[in-house]
Amino acid sequence: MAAEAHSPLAQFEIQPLGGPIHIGGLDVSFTNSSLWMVIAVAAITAFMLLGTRKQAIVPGRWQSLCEGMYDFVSNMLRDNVGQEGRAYFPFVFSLFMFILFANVLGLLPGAFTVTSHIVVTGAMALFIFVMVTIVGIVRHGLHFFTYFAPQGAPMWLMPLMIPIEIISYAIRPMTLSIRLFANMVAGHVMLAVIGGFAFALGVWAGWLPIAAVTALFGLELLIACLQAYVFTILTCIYLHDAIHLH
Amino acid sequence: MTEKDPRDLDKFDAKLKAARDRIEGRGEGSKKSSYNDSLVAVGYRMSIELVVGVCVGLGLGWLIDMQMGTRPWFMIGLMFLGMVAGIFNVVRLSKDVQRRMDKDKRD
Repeated sequence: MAAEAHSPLAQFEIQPLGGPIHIGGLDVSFTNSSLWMVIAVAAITAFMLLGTRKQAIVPGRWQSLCEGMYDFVSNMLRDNVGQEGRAYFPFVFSLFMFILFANVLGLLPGAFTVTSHIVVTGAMALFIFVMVTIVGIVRHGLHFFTYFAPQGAPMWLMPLMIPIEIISYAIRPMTLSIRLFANMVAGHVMLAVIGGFAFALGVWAGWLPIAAVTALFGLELLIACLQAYVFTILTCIYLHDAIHLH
Repeated sequence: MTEKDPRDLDKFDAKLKAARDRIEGRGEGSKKSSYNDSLVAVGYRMSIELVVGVCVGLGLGWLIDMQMGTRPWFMIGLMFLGMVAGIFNVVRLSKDVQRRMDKDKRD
């Protein structure tokens, strides 16, 4: 490993695997990021297909895991969106599973964390933002824009309230993407830095940072799951707002 | 498998009925959506909301200023609006959490 590879940020570097590919001036190389996305999708597919292949009425361990995941997302959707939310279940479930698997797979030693790049989380957040806005406009027509006029506010406050409401609506994709990406980056940098101390301290004191990393790894696992949950629940809440307005 | 008390079976039937009611959205079950949002998740949402509001206000204001040559007025104005928007979101979120917690307590 080269000297600069010891930088705690080196783990986030995008590297093309098997040479760069250019199509029409666009760099579409298959990178380590793409590889781990493919791995995440393959793992999810294998997890769900193999887990449910028996379709037993009394589920085994693996099948209960799959059913638990299904139940978790379906409850989340029902509690936050209501019955109209059923139609969006496939989308929300895929989103949750992809983020969860990307986050957790990223914790494997030597793995690349897909969600540590804002271009990935930002693309997902923008997609959700555009989708939710379209859902709102399709469902309510121009009435959707009353969402930006808070109810019960006096008329003279409207010139101030409407820009504020529009900004707080428009920052949604940012908050959504920055939260996930920043948590992933911060966690992985912290693990790398403290792990680096183990080398610096040598045999005598080196076990201390290793113990700390072990404990932090548990925390990172919690954050990986929690951030997938937060991302998904916010998607549900945005859907609720678009469907019900206020 | 050990032999179960028939009373357990009754209890199971009641539970099954409650779960069915909840899923199909009728009866008591549907109204009693327990607040299972973890507070850590709420904390994460609040903290980022405050920061991003200000940043987006600044960025948007800067862009408008660059286009119109009105530096620095839009940047300052929109920064404040962004700050207010962030605080609004946090207040709205905490009201929502409060409401759901109160509802849970009453049930």
